[in-house]
Amino acid sequence: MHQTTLNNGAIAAALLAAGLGGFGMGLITFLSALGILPVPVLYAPVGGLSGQSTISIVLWLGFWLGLHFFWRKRSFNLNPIGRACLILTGLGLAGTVLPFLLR
Amino acid sequence: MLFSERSIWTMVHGIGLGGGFLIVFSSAFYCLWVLRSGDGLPEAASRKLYAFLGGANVLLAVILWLTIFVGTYVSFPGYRANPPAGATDLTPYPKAVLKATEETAWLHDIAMEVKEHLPWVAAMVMTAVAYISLLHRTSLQQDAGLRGTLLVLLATTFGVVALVALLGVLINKAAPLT
Repeated sequence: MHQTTLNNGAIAAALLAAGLGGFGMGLITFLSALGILPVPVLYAPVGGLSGQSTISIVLWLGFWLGLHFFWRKRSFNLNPIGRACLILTGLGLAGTVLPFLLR
Repeated sequence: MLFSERSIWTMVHGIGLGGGFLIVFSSAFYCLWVLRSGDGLPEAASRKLYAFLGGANVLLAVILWLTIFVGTYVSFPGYRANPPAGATDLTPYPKAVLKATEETAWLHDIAMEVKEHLPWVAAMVMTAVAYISLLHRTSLQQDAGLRGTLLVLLATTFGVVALVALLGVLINKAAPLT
């Protein structure tokens, strides 16, 4: 079982941000593959992947910085945060695979 | 010339960096597996294993990001380049080669599309694992549940890299980047 230790907010922030970043990449890939979300091409030789990946990285680092700033001096039970990270990561992975498998 | 610049970069991407990840992974995973229960290990051995784990996970994160950036910004443009109108020899254009027949089209439409997108998720997760195991060793030592979470995340990252590596081998077998 996870223990609530002093000042583990930075760990919680890193875990949740990774899950949210991965979920973001999955969602952006899913929506742009379906043609619902237009994604800018930031580097023409790579195509839409340059925009999808850059936006996801910016989102991930933004979440991480923000959560770290607000949580770094707090303590959490890491059990639900670890589970949320795993679920969000799973959804992110599914979002990057399903639109290509199912079309 | 035996190897073109493009094929050398493909080898750096797939064999050097991708293969390097899989090798370093096995030692990091074993290390975390041994530390998972944390019972019966002498203090000195435990301290050394945590130090090794931190270094190995950082190395894994660096290798994974390098693999992705080399793959995306060095090898991928050559793969997806369109052949000029009227070109009869498609060999230098792997995407066009794959899409030319129904038998191989899935290698682009599914395998390559998945290979392009999936690793970014794994890299974010791997970075979090590296950050926690390097800078929050005390929490990791105290919290068996956190070690379990990192073990699952590490295994997930391995699964993604192994799948993507397999897809890369299949794609390169059918339409190598020469």
